[in-house]
Amino acid sequence: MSTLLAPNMTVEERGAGHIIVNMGPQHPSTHGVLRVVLELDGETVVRCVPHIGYLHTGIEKLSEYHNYIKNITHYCRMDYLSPMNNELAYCLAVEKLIGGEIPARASYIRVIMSELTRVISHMIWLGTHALDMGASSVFFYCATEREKIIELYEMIGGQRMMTSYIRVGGVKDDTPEGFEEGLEAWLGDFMPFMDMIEGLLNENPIWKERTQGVGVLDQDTVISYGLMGPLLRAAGVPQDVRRDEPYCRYEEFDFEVPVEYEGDVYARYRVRMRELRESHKIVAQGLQKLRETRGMPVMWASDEFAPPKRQDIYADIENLIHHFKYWTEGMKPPAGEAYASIESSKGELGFYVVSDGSAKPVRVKVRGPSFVNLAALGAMCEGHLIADVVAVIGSIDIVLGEVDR
Amino acid sequence: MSPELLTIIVRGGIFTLCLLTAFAYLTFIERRMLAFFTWRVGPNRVGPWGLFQPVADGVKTILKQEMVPMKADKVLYMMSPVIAFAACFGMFGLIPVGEGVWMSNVPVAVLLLLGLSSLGAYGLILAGWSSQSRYPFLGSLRTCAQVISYELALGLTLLVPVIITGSLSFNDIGNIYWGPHWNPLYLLVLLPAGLLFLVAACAETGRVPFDLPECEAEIVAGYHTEYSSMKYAMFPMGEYIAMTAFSAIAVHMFLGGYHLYIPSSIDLTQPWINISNWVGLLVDKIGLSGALAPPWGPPKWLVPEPYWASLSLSPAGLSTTLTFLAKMAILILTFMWVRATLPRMRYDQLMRFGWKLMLPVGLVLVFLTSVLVVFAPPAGSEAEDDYGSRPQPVVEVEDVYASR
Repeated sequence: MSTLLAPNMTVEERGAGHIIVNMGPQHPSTHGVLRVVLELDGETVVRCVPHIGYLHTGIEKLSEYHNYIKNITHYCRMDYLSPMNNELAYCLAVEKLIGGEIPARASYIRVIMSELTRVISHMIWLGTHALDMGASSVFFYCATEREKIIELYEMIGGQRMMTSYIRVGGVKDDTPEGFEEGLEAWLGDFMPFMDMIEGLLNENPIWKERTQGVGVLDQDTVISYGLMGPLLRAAGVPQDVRRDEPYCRYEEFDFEVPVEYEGDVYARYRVRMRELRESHKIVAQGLQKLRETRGMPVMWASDEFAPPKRQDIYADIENLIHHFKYWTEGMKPPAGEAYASIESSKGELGFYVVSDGSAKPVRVKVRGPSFVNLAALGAMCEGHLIADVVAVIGSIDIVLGEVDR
Repeated sequence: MSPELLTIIVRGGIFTLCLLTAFAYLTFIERRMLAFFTWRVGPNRVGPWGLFQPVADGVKTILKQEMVPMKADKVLYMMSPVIAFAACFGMFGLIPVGEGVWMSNVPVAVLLLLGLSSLGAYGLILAGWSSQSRYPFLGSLRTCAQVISYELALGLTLLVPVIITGSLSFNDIGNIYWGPHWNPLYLLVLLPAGLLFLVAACAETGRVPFDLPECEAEIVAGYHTEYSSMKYAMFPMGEYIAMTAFSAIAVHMFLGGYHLYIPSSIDLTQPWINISNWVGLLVDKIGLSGALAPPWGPPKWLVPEPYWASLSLSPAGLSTTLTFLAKMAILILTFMWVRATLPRMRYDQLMRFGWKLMLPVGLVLVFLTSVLVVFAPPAGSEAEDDYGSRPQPVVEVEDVYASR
């Protein structure tokens, strides 16, 4: 971009008869503090430049000052709508650095939780997307549905959002009592809910008119921008990390990768809706596997890289010292670097961790899908109307916490 | 001051009070309804069942700090909420709500109403223009385009019952509607015209799915972005009143006004039984006497004799008013239901819908109606029927003007 748009540009700098409008950082439908500067000809967007950095939290830099275990708590605050996805990707990277076998039960719990995370993230996406389009009721239905999963979150991780439940080497605790029943209840509720929402929107003429043919990106453009996740799959590229490079024993699960070919906002909507149904399928299989592995360990057997069991701490002094050192000094993975990526709700989420053998990482680089996907905003909006900008932002499904990190 | 003029003033006062209360409680009902549609509870904290919520809202709005943008055109900025509000309010001065319950019975009420509703749009347009800010400016542009496009369709749909009844006065249209002049063939044009009118009214009052001028997802709050405190509140107030007014018009035009008829048989050509005066029928049954005997009104020692008659309410007036309000309530609830269900249209789609669908359909309907009236004239009238042979208005409006 040669010149950035500014609201106080002179007539010569912008086109004659055009106005420059600042959309955000305080705007109802930029999903946080995204600022988009629009050059408008009437209602038509001539140029569209996203400005980011209003929610900069310095999480990547902070990671260099805290030890490997404490760092987990940062990442759930990054993409705060899918907390466990971030934890999982980071833990996978650190585990790659250390090397070692993750217990099956821990992997299954991780799969279940990351699918549930996809669902809550998509619930917020759908709710806000529909709200931007004026279908206000959908937002409340989605919030209600999300609440059920948030309760499961609270049950398993003790917190509604910032759980820090997934740890290096497994998960923090085994599933609590009542979790399987809660999961089963949710499995029963979810499909009727999906039918209701799709009944409201799928064939709704206004919804279709607003989304079809809007923000179209063809395969080549999508690939050249490096877009991931639903945006990529909506343009007809069947790529999914869960299937292509399975992690957490995803290869044991039976699911499809939904693909649509139109590349517009409606295709993204359809891809995400079908993904939700796939998530439901995966969670149902996960629950089965959870029942089969009842009582098995959820943390890898390692003296150095796993916290001692609580009953052992009270039993002997060595474990007490280990416990103390593990939590204060932190663990020290061998020097090296590792990259692990997962299919998060918004696309490929990658963590690149560099270690020098100390208890703190030298560098943690996050490949955030929101950030990458946001880059295509201009390409999708130019030539469309203001209303389409809102629809497109909704369809990208950005979380500014992850864009700025 | 003549009794008639004084009556109009007093009735105006009563109407204003009722409307302000109605507006306040419409917001409450709408919030409760939306909550019901979205599995929530809605406002239930202030007073019993949250009934004092509108009062609290009102107090809050009035006490809010008032801010005027520095560059705003002060005069227009102050004027425009008043224009928007007054025009919408004025609409109710022309609409009878029951037999004998009206502020004025103007022979050309329909025309005046269309004029007032267009005038209200000026308030919105000027509000956006005078704010000297970009989002309000976009909002006012949208209002401008939207009101112009949908007013055409609105007017055309209103023409359908006007052509059939040959009158522009609501009382006449309501009185003739199901009377001996009824011809079931009219349903062919009246039903689509009614539906079209509701859609156009939605657009005219800026409600979902046509709430583009103030849609918060795109242009923040549209034309009233820069308004605060009471000046802001006057816009939604006007909008709600306009919604009520358009529901009232729809009731008069397409739902048989304040009358209540039941068919005497399944056959639509058979005469209808008039039960408009159901309160009167009840009173007859019970046999009220003494102070309770109708007509009901203010105490006689308070109001002098010449005024009393025009300020009192007969059983017929009461029952028709209640019938009218019930019909209106159904329409208003429909508006709320639509708001909870539908997404919002896009600007260009709105224009296309207005010009390429609503307008042609409206024209075709008007044409069909004209043909129908010629070839299937109102039952009970001659084929070469002219407007002179139509039933006369129930109330002699000329008296009011003559006595001035």
